[in-house]
Amino acid sequence: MKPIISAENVTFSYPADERAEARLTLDGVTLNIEPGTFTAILGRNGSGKSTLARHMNALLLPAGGTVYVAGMDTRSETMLLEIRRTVGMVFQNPDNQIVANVVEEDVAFAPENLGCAPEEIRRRVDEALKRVGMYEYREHAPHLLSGGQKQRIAIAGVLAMEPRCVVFDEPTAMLDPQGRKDVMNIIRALQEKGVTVILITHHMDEAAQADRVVVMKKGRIAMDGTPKALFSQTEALTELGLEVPDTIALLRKLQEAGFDLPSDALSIEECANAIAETIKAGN
Amino acid sequence: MLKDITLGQYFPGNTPVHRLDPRTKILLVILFIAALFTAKSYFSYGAVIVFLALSVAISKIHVKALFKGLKPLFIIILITGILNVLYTKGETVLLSFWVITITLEGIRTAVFMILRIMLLVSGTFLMTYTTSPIALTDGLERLLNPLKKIRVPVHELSMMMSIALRFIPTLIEETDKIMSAQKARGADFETGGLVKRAKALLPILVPLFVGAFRRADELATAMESRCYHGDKGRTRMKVLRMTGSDAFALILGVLLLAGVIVLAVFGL
Repeated sequence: MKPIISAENVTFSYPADERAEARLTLDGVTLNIEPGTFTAILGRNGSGKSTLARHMNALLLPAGGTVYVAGMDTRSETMLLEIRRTVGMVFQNPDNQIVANVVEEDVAFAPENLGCAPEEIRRRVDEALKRVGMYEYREHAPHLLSGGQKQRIAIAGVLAMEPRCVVFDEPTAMLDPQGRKDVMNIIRALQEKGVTVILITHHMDEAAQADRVVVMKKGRIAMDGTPKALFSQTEALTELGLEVPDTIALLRKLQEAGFDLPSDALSIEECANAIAETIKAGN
Repeated sequence: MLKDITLGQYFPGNTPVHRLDPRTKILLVILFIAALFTAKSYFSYGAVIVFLALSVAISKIHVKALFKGLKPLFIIILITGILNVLYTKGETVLLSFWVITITLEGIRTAVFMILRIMLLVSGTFLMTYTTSPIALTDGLERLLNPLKKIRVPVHELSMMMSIALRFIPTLIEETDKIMSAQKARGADFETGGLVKRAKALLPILVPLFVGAFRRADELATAMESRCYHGDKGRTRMKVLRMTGSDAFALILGVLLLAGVIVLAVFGL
């Protein structure tokens, strides 16, 4: 299948202020995202992951190289709206994404911009709100909701465009544990419905749920592979300034203590089963 | 302390007043104000008061809420009253000592002025209390639509207004947070003279402004991501429709103004 997002040798740098030396924020990134997949992008602060995300719906245009969204060059101004409705984007701070002071009016913002008919907007708004489980709150004022609920409204606002791909730029960074869980559940449900998901995150346990993990360092892709393959490379990850998920860290410690365990049992269940088996075998 | 700002407050409800088209309500308020400023007699003031009282009764808004809105204006109302009592020249002197002369005409004018201010504010508040800010800006945009022809950026202005209204509670929350943070580090906002207190506010305003700019930037990015490109080709989920009750309300409003004008012509 043709990739939905395809970045070819993309370079980009922000206008340098006088003190800082000009540095490429993106330094030759080539990345293809297949439709329907769930990709997590990891990296330390300043690794260029958010900048890369902003290239995926033409918020930023590459200085060198090209970005194609469903075959459309992001530099084409006539395709701009089509690109942005194909790739939706959810940001970190839910407060700064909500435009209107009634929940349903806010969710209606994108389809209104797209010029949908009123009945069609109504249908999309109701559907999007039901998908994030906030339908009962449709007439509430957003500022009275919790952070997690606001972020779900922001996601609904993007889903109302009926995008084929959604880029989440650290959507859980400002949320409490319950809010994080809710948002991750929505992300997984989206992928099951066939929406391509790209998740930029700092949380390893969130990245572990993806099909593919891309690690960025200094504007380049440093590692790329399945979570299992990636997270078992503890040393390489530590070198990139990232931690490994708790499960892998535990297995590592047990291995060092002399137990015979696999180093790629990523999910909590797998990890528990692996340990249980070893204990049984030991007896 | 900042929580009780009533600006742009809206009490949701489902009364005939709530259901009126926002355009009707804006036009009604204009008619109401025009009638208020034409009124010169007890009769015409009576008519205006009855009109407002009926609207309030139908809207089921508590009179208390309306009076709460009048509270900040208390001093202005008081000063207006006193000045009118003292400076209106009249023939029926009720009380006279030293330089102060109080006349019947003075009291009459003062009462009318006070009534006028109170009615003006209550009438406008009734509109904002019964209309969601979004509907209000929407109605304003439609009403001013003809001005687009002479290149008045009507859509942009109404968008700015509704975003400003949306961010008032967010910014108030942030102000409270910054104040608490400063207080925790020993800042003093409550004591000292006016100058000292104003100076104490500076460390609040700077972070608040910086934060507001950052928010504006992020909001603009989020809006762009959601395909915002001005009002070209933009549709609305809730289409404004004038109904029979709108026509009825507008006729009542016109009748009120006409009645007051007729009364004024006859010197009443």
